[in-house]
This record gives sequence, structure tokens and C-alpha cells, in this order.
Amino acid sequence: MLVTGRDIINLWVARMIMTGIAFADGLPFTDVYINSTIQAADGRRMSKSLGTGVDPLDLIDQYGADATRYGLLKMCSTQDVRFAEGMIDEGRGLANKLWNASRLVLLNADPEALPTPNGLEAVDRWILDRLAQTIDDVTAGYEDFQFSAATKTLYAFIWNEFCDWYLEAIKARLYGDDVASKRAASETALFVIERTLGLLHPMCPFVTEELWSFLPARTGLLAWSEFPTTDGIPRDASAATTVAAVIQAVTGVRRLRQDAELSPRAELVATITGDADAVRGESALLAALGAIQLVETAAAGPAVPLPAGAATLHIQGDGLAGKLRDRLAKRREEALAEHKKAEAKLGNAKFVERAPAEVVEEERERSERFARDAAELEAQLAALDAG
Amino acid sequence: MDRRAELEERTRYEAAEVEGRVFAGWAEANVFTADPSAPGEPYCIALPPPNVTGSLHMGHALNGAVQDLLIRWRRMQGRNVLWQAGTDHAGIATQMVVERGLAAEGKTRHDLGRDAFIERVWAWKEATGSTIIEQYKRLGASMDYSRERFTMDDDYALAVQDVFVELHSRGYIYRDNYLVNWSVPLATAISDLEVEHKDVNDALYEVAYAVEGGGEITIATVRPVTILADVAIAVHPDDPRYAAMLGKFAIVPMVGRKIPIIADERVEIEFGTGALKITPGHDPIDFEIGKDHGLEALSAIGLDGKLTDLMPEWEGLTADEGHERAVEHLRESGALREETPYRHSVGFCQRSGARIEPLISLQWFCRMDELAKPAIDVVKSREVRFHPERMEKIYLDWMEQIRPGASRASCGGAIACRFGLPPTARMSCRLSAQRARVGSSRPTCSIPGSRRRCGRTPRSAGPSRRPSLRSGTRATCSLRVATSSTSGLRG
Repeated sequence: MLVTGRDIINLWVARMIMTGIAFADGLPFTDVYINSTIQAADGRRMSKSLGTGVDPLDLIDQYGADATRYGLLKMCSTQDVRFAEGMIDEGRGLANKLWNASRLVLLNADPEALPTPNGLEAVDRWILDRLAQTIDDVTAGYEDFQFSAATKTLYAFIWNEFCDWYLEAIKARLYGDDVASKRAASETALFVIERTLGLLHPMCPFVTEELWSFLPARTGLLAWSEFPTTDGIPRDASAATTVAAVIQAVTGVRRLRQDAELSPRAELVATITGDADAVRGESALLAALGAIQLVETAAAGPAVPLPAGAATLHIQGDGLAGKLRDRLAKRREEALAEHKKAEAKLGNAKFVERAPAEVVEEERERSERFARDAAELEAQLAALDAG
Repeated sequence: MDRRAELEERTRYEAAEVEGRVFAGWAEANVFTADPSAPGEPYCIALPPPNVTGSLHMGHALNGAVQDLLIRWRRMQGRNVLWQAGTDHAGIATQMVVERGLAAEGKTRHDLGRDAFIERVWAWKEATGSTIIEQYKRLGASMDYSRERFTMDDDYALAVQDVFVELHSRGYIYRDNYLVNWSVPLATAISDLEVEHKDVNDALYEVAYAVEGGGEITIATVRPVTILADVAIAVHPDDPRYAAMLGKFAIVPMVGRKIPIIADERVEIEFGTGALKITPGHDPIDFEIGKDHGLEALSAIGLDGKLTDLMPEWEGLTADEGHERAVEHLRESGALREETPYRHSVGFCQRSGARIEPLISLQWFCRMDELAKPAIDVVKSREVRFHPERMEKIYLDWMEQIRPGASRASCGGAIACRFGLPPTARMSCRLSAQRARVGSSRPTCSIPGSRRRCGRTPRSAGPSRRPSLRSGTRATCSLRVATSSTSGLRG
């Protein structure tokens, strides 16, 4: 394996192959990966004399080595790339997130629990399924030199699926009295952390090695441990589908609360229709993540429909439908007013003639955008009335 | 403190506190140290060695992050990995750093003499040469630092010599004169990459040459002193002004030498007078034209920057003094017809700031045909794969273009860069040193056309340390030639 820059192909690469064949009876390498050239953020060449260089050691001081590596790997592509410090900052954010998540699990887990794939609940089976998929995707990314894709896969898994969903879902179980449930959540969370540290180690060796040292029953250094495989990880497609439906519903409910200006914990109830059994079985998860109680019969008055996979939730409570209706109607009025204002300007011949073309174009885009918003809000109102 | 209590206190990830400690833990456990006898399929990457004078820049950091990702991943997968660490001697760059240090003491390398200067370079390398390697450690690079190599290590240099000798014995290597970018203060040829072009105000001199049998022909030049080394005057074959003069001889002013008037399509009819003085010893285009017409290359200025004996009474003058004398001489003899201000682009030596002298010097060449062919085949057959795949085209285009005939770029350049100093001097010195080791007389260096003599003794002792290209120790003895096959370590 050789990893080098494009300008080295005619120098080192060519000469190593020629001399390897001629004098060492073989090839010096079988794969040559040509890494991107990193340009300054404005597209100029990075150079000390031009003052466009960024010193990687400064980045390491400021963000940490893991963050610097993560950011650079995320920038990697098959083209030349512009330096984006935000990607390095994202790496620092990820290291912190992983630290906090691991700390939460390690400090609150059942002290007897060891990293084990325990699929007691659907959400446990779901995170294990997602972990297995992530292992496959990251391994394929490393295999195919798709480093940027691998950073994105790991980021999404750690930040969204593990921290935002799984840890939120199991917090109550970790703090609760149900011994078996706490044990299962502890074992699975520890297992996911253990495997994730392995997956991330080649990118971010420091934070992963440090966290590894806190895992129960670990042996030796992470740098020398086995790279995670999917062996022994149960795959459960139906749990994955069910939890995905719950996540869809909870995401919808959170947005609904914002739209109707309700507090995140305001009590909401829902009836369920459609292919409802699987989601109904996860009523505790819906309650934990979305603060929604499933009920058998709807109260009088309108309900807001929300998709949850193959099922539909009909949400009520706290005057939700009325508040939502008012809010949506108000926003529709605002959008229509803005649209009219823009149209009036565009109808003014003086403005269209005298204003710079890009200003006119901007106004036209504004007008269209508000018209679209108004139409969408109209559709939401119609759906609300139908539900 | 127990681990749990420790974790409770550490409410956030403190990279600066963690990194040094974790790295020391890896080093202590020898995680990075390769063991050829260990189980597992070998997986090997050789770090493209950074300049020993260098400091980690963004390119190194990205390149290092990618390599470390691959190495750590494969290590965890149970492969027997080696990430070979090393630095490149960076020839001129290193010399400049050491010379700056000497200048601070009010000395030059000539005050020290060759041997003492080289000792000084080694001392500098030992003292500060690991800066960039330490910086790779900050990045977390899991290279085998215990195997760190330097491209002037004895084994390494000997492997290069071995290859050179082998190339020579196979008949690939030969020497020939070539026009190079010569830096007089550095006394070395420098690469095109190290030449900086700047616009300069000079004068353009129109000079008339008498034509044998009557008439005259006027050329334009910014460097009248190079007239001393003219070997022809070229005109465009379709230029009616000079049609009658083709095949006749012109008389070179100042020296009175007879030179042919020739036709060549590369002459621009519109430029100047349309007649071009051909001075292969001092101009790259003239060098090409001279070669094609079988003309000799004369040198008015030598590698020391002083005038040669083409004009015996001026021998030893500097090029600038020679310029003054030549203008004066041409003016007095009436050959100088016109002098006009002229702004043009001139090459300067990036490191010393001196104006580049294009000069003839004896260069090493290597015939590439037979070496390139199998190297093209292995890429076409995908035994060697490029990622991304389109990079393959850059490789193949270049390799196919260097195939026909001889290429200066490939062997001479590589070896010159390996030895850091002018290829001619160092090469012969090393070669004769090796001959001595093999068991003949004391190493001496004698290069045709060079006044250099060198009696440098090889740094390492004993034939036992001499690496054989056919032994099973490739991975340990050379970064460039091979980190592969015979030891089984292959990337």
C-alpha cells in the first residue's frame, strides 16, 4: 500500500514500481491511494509565503488530534478540496459527544453488566441492527478508500441513532427499578459503545483508546483489539421497522409541539389506526421519547394525524388541534401577505426597470417561496380538518 | 482514585491531557513495532519520507491521517502491519539550513572544507532531524519509529549504489552533456521547480556579424558575452532576406571564429532581425537546435561562473565583468548596431537568489525502455491498482511518454536527488568508495570534465553490513527500492 499525492505519481510511484520489478523481483505495493490536495478555504494554494497555510499543529492544539484527523478525513475526496475548519470543529463535537454518552452509560449502568448484545426490548434489537449495519458500512468505506463516507456514517450513528434516540430511550430504564430491563439496557449500551470505539479508533485513536480503558472487563489496548465484525450481533428487521416507525412518529410529534407552541412535555394522547400492532406494542417507548400516551378511544373534537410507519397516530390533548389550526392559519396569512408584498413590488414597472437584475430576481424568488409556503400550510390545514 | 470516581470528575473530554499519555501507553506496549515473525498476512505502508528539514503541513497531516487509519484498521483486523517511518535528506534544503547556521558564525562551507562541512550536516541532522517525526506523533501516527530510516543511511545509500551499478552493468546508464539551470553560488544544478522567474530590465543588443564573401548578418542578444560561444546563426528557411546567405559562414565578433548560417523552422521571422545566434552552451532552445544540427556546445562561462578561455585574455573574469568587456569591444569594433532597453523574464535560483546560468554540465542518463515496460504492464493488468482509478491515466501517460529513448528525468534525477549534491561528484565518489569496499584500491573520485576530487571514506564499516539486493532483508534496508516481496511484507 502506498498513500501519496498526485504530483508524486511520476516521481516516487513510477520509480518504486520500476526499480521494484527490476531489482527486488516484485512489486513494492499493489495499491496506490492518491489523497486530495487541500487548498486554502478560498481555493488558493496553501502556502506559508502566501499566508494561506493553516498549521495542523495549531489545529491539534486547538481542537485535539482526533478532531483534526476526523475533519481531514471528512474533507477527503477524489478531487482537490478546500479546507473547512468547521469539519474539524465537528470532529471535536463528536469526540465530546462520545465522551459524554460513554460516561453516562458507564456511570449509570448496572455494575454487574458486561458488554453483551442483549435484545430484550425492540429498541435494543433496533440499535443492535443499526450497529451491525454501521459496521458493514464503515468497513466497506475503509475497504474502498471512501473515508469521507465512513466519517459521515459513524457520525450519524453515534450522534443521531445512539445518542439522540437510543440513550434517550433507555435513560428511564437505566434509572429505573426493573432489574432485567436495566440489565439489558446496560449490556447493550456497553456493547454498542465497545464496538463503536473499535470502529472509530482508526479515525480518532486517542479518545477511543481512553474510553476503552474505562470499559468493564476489557483486556489490553484498543489499538490491539479485534476490529468489530457483525459476528454474534442479532439482526432483527422487524424490530428495526417498528422502532423506525416510532422514531418517525416522535419526530412528527416534536414538530407538532413546535408548530402549536406546546411545551415538549405537555401531555398528549393518541389513538392509532392502520397496521397498528407493532407500534402499539411500543407504547412505553412512545411515552418515553415523545410523551404521548396511547388510548383506546378518542376524546370529542378534532385530532391531528401523524404517520408512524404503516400506522397512523391521531393526536389530541391540551387543545392541540385548535391551537395548531390557529397557528397554521396565522402562518398562512403571514405567508400570503409577504407573497402579496413581493408581487406588488414586481408589479411596479419602475422597480423592475431600475433595480439591479439580481435584486429583481431575489424578489421574484421571495414571492415564489411565500406562495409555496402558503400552499403547503393550506394543505396542512386541510389534512387537519380531514383528520 | 478508582476508575469510577475518576470518570465522574472528568466531565468533558480534554484532548490535550489525554493525547500525550495515551501515546506513551502505545509506545510502552510496543504497539507500533513490526515483527516479521508475527502471524498474520503482512500489510505494509512506507511513509513517503518528508524532508528532514520540514515541518508538518496540512498535506502531511491528511496523508498521515489516511495512512494511520489504514494501518490501525488492518492491525486490528489481525494483519501483520508495518508502517515504515523515515525522512528524506532533502539535499539542497538541508545544505542551506546548515549554511545559514555557519553564516551566523561568519563562516562559509568553503572555510570548513568538504569533510568538516559534511560532518556538520550530519551533526545538524542528528540534533534536529527528528522534528517532523515528533510532529507525526502528535497526530497519533502509529508508525514503527524503531525502524526510522533516513535516505542517506549507509544501507540505504548502498542499496542506491547497488542499483546504480546494476543499471550501469545492464548498459542503461550513460553520461552526456546537458544544459542545466546552474546556480553559481550553490555550485549545483537545480531543478526547474526551484527556479523563480521574474521580469528584469536589461538591454537588447543588435550585433552585426560579417559574412564570408561579403555582407553582414545582424542578430539580437541580451547577453553579448555568450557570443564567444556561438556555433551557428539560424534563420527561418522561408525568410527571403537571408535565402542567399544559407550555407555561407559568418565570422563571430571578438573571437573571429567561422560559423555556418543554417535554416531552422523554430526561428521566428518576426522576432528581432529574424536571425538567431545559436549558442547551445547557454540557452535551452539553442541546445535543442544545436543537437539537431550536430553542432558542438561551447562554454563561454564555466561552472564557477567565470569566463573560460574562449577569449584567453578574459579568462577568469566574472560573467558581469565579461558582459562589460564584450559590450565595450563590440562598440569599439563597430559591430554593435543598436542598444535598446528590454524587459524580459529571467530565472533566479529560489534558494540563493542568484540569476540562473544555463550551463552545460555532464549529466547521468538512464535508458528507460526496458525498465518502463514491465512497470506499465503491471498497472494495465491491475496488479498495481490506483485509487481513485482515474489516477492510473496520469501514471500511464507519463510512463508511455518516457519510454522512447533516453530520459534524463528518471534515473539521473532520482540518483542526484538521492545523493543531494551534484550528481556527478557524489556519484563517482560513492561508486569508487564501493569499489574500494569490494576490495580494490582506496576510493578516489575522478570525473572527466570536473576538477573535483574526493577521498571521502564510507561512513559505515565492513562488508557485513552491505545489503544485498537479493537477500531477504528488503523491508529493513530500503524505503524506496522495495519494502516488499522477498520479506513477504507487501501493501
